[in-house]
Amino acid sequence: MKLLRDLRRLWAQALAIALVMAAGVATLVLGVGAVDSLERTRDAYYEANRFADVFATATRAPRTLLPRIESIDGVLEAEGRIRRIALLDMPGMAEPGSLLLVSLPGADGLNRLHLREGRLPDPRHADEAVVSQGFAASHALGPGSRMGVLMNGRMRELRVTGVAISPEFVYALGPGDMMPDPRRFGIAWLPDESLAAAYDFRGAFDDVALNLAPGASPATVMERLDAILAPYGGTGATGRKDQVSHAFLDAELTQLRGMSRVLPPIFLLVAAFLVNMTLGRLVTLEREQIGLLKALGYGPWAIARHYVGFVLAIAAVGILLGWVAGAWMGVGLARLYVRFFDFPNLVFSRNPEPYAIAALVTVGAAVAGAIDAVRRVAWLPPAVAMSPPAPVRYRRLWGGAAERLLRIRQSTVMIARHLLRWPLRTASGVLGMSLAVAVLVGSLWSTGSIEKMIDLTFDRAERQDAMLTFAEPRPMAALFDIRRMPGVLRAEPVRIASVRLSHGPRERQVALIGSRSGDDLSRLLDIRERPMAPPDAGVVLSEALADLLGVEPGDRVRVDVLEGDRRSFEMPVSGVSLGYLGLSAAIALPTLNGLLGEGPRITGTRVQLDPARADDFFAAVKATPQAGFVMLLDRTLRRFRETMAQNITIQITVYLTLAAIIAFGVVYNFARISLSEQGRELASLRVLGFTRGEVAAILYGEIAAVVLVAQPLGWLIGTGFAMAVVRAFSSELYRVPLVINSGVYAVASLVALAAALASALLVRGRIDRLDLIEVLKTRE
Amino acid sequence: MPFEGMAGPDRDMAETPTIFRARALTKTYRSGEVEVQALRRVDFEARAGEFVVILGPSGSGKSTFLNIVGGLDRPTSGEVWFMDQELTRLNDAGLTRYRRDHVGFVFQFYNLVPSLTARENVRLVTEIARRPMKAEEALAMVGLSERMDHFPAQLSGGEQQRVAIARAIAKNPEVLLCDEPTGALDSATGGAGAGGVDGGQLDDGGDHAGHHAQRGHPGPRASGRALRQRRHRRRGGQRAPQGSGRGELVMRLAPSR
Repeated sequence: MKLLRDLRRLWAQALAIALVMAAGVATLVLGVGAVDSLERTRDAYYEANRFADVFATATRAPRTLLPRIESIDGVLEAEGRIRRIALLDMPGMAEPGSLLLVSLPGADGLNRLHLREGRLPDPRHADEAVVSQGFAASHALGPGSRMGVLMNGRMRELRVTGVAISPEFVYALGPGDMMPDPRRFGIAWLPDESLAAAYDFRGAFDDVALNLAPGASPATVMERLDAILAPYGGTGATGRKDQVSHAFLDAELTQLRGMSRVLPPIFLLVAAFLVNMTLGRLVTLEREQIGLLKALGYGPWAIARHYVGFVLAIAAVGILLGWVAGAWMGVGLARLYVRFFDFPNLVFSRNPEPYAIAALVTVGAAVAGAIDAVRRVAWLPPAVAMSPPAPVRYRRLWGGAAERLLRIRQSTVMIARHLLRWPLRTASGVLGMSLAVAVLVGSLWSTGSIEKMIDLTFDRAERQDAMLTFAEPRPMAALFDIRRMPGVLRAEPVRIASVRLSHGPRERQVALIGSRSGDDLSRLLDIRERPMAPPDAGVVLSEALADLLGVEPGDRVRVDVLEGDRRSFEMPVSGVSLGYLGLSAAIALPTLNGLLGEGPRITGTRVQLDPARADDFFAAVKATPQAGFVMLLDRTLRRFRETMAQNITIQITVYLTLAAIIAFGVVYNFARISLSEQGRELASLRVLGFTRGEVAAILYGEIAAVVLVAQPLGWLIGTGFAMAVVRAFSSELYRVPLVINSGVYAVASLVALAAALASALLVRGRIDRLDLIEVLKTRE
Repeated sequence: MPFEGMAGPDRDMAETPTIFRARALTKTYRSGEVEVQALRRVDFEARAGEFVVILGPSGSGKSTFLNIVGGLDRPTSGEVWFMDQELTRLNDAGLTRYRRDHVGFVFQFYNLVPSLTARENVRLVTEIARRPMKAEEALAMVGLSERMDHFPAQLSGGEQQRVAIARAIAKNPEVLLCDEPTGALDSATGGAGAGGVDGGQLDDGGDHAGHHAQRGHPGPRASGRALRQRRHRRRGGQRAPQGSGRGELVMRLAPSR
């Protein structure tokens, strides 16, 4: 009964606490639930569709090699495939897109498709294909649709028989892309025979997928596989870990795990503070009642049970709200994932485990917050509890020197002394508020960092409009063909070779990019963001790669070329460059040609286009048999921005809400408790002739002090969060520069201040309604 | 000293201006079905320099009357004038202004700010007053010069009351209102406190007697007028006294300046 009365009386404070708890529960349910859903969905999909464990490519290898591969220890199955990139010619799309053509997996083969629509192609019809879901959706393709594809220099028309997804392309990233762009990149699965015919690959394959026995070591298998494929132009095997689609999924999971580890503890910590503050005040007010109950024979545990029950009731509300919010956001997140990841069915986890964990942890935090407050009173002897508590002792600051020196008004002295009298509570308020600011700083910075990344990557380093990659290396003269194409203002040659770089036991397979030293469509930037020329001797590694290999300029690295006649050599690291996407290594073009033992050959060109004639250029490219694929930087950037904008809007809304809940909960409870303690004094001041505004200013002054002190602390903690996030997110796929511009701090503080102001205004009514007459009649 | 040479009850009333004038003051409290009349058509007048004591059993409406005159509460009907200002027409801001500029309150339970020392408690009021005296001066008048830097919790009940009195007189108010000023006063310190209010106590209470001589001039006594007012109200149909607790209510009027 009393419990319900307490709840009704303190409903607003209880609700504010419950909301903070709910935020903790929701983020935990969301984080753990999302990780759980994503992992389960992925694992089930991989298993049902037999996602391969190891992948490797070669230039051309005979199918007779497959039994040898299968005989490697630990290999269960090996499936040879043809995997080729082709230029697309879609009606209504001026810019060229690319289509990855892959042999249709066998009925019981690896990487089996999950058919969404239609049927699989009939091997007897060479022009039938199944296309990937995102691509089909962007071009309104379905069974019966036709499309033009430039295959091996010949334009061919393919007939779509079905739409499918594959465990190999859950995250379907096109060549050179930063984000999936289903309009410009798709996958088409054709019967192996059709591809073999088109590319003259009868009895041969250029890609192999392996399935390993449980417990087999992928590294050992990959080593053996590389040895077998080396004579056939093998460019080095990759394990699942480095398979693009899998790696991106993994990065997402890492990010989610990070979120579910950082955010919920913040909320639960704040909730514990708030419970402690509020309950501390409640038991002080009810001290005499407690004494009376104890005198009547109630034991300390009975008293403790009552207050713990009160806190648990609040926790129950918080948990329920959090469950609902978490499940609701989970559905939203699943919907968001469906946009990025092609899963057969991504359903947000209904697994009760995250819900149970969240409830348990919240109850734990609530009880932890209550213990101290309850312990102080429940164990007092009844006689002591019934007599009023000893008067609160205040102290002057340094014997009153501070007050005299600062010549502050007495109302300010009241504020300072009241805050200092309860240092723990004041500190909790400051910390709670600073966490609200920190949550914002720790999330809002990403916008600025992404802009920085874009500026460095697209405006200062990669300044070309397009990058045309040939299907095969070609002589330097190909450059002049490109220069003659319509709309081309400038063209610069590039030679890209697949190499393995190693330094001691550390090694990485990367693309070694050779450019001419005078060219500047694409520039290397040093770590101080200044352009630098590719060195005549030596190789420039991106920061991430240098870190991975553990090398510094001056160290020597071993370079194993994974193509041609597979030469090996050692060369010095001559510099480290800035780079946020992937791993890269740069070298001077003539040096690379020399090392490869070939004449001046190139694999592609960087192109600067006349925007007015871009479409002519695209049309010309589509008609060029030697063109492999085209990467459009502008389009890539636009797509990147669009996706980021969508994500960031959602993300910012969520974080703003969460931070506002913390700020509101902390300030509201702080203000209510302070008002409860000083209500009598404030009412007395009103009688003495203080205006409502002047009295409110005393309470607001206290809140303002807490809120202001919390700002720099919040910035500091938030910067720490951001640094932790950057470290957690850094992967071989991308790095994020940590840039926190002053706007981030300002916005974080403004939001926190606005929430604080709103809760302060809610308390204003109570200040205005202070009972001036009651205060004259009652003893404290 | 603002309280020197003030008018006693024996001065010629006709020449001193009227400070308070109340007409047909009625206050009705309603709680649910029950209607309680705290004041019923009370007429009252007090002049500059008067020292008015309102006596009555608890529940007879003393505090209600004081609250209305002090600008803390509004009557249900009737009007109250403070000099040429009609209090009953003032809004909340106006009443706050009135309390701030003209009224000194001594609360029954002192209501000192626990986080401020004696001196600071007095300063709290002098900082917002129009013609304050120095906090130290006011505290000296109540004999607390030695303990100015003590917090209320370090002072005895009597000392706390003297701080409350110093706080009330420090702004040089036109009126000083004291609600049951001896209610919580110990007799040993009562004299010193009364020195500050210049006779803010009753000798008919028995245990507070003998303080008038302290300041060397005859202390004013409870005004016969106020008592008559009181009697008038009783005759006017005030309900029967409840309980036996007899309270005092002192209202002291200083000359207008």
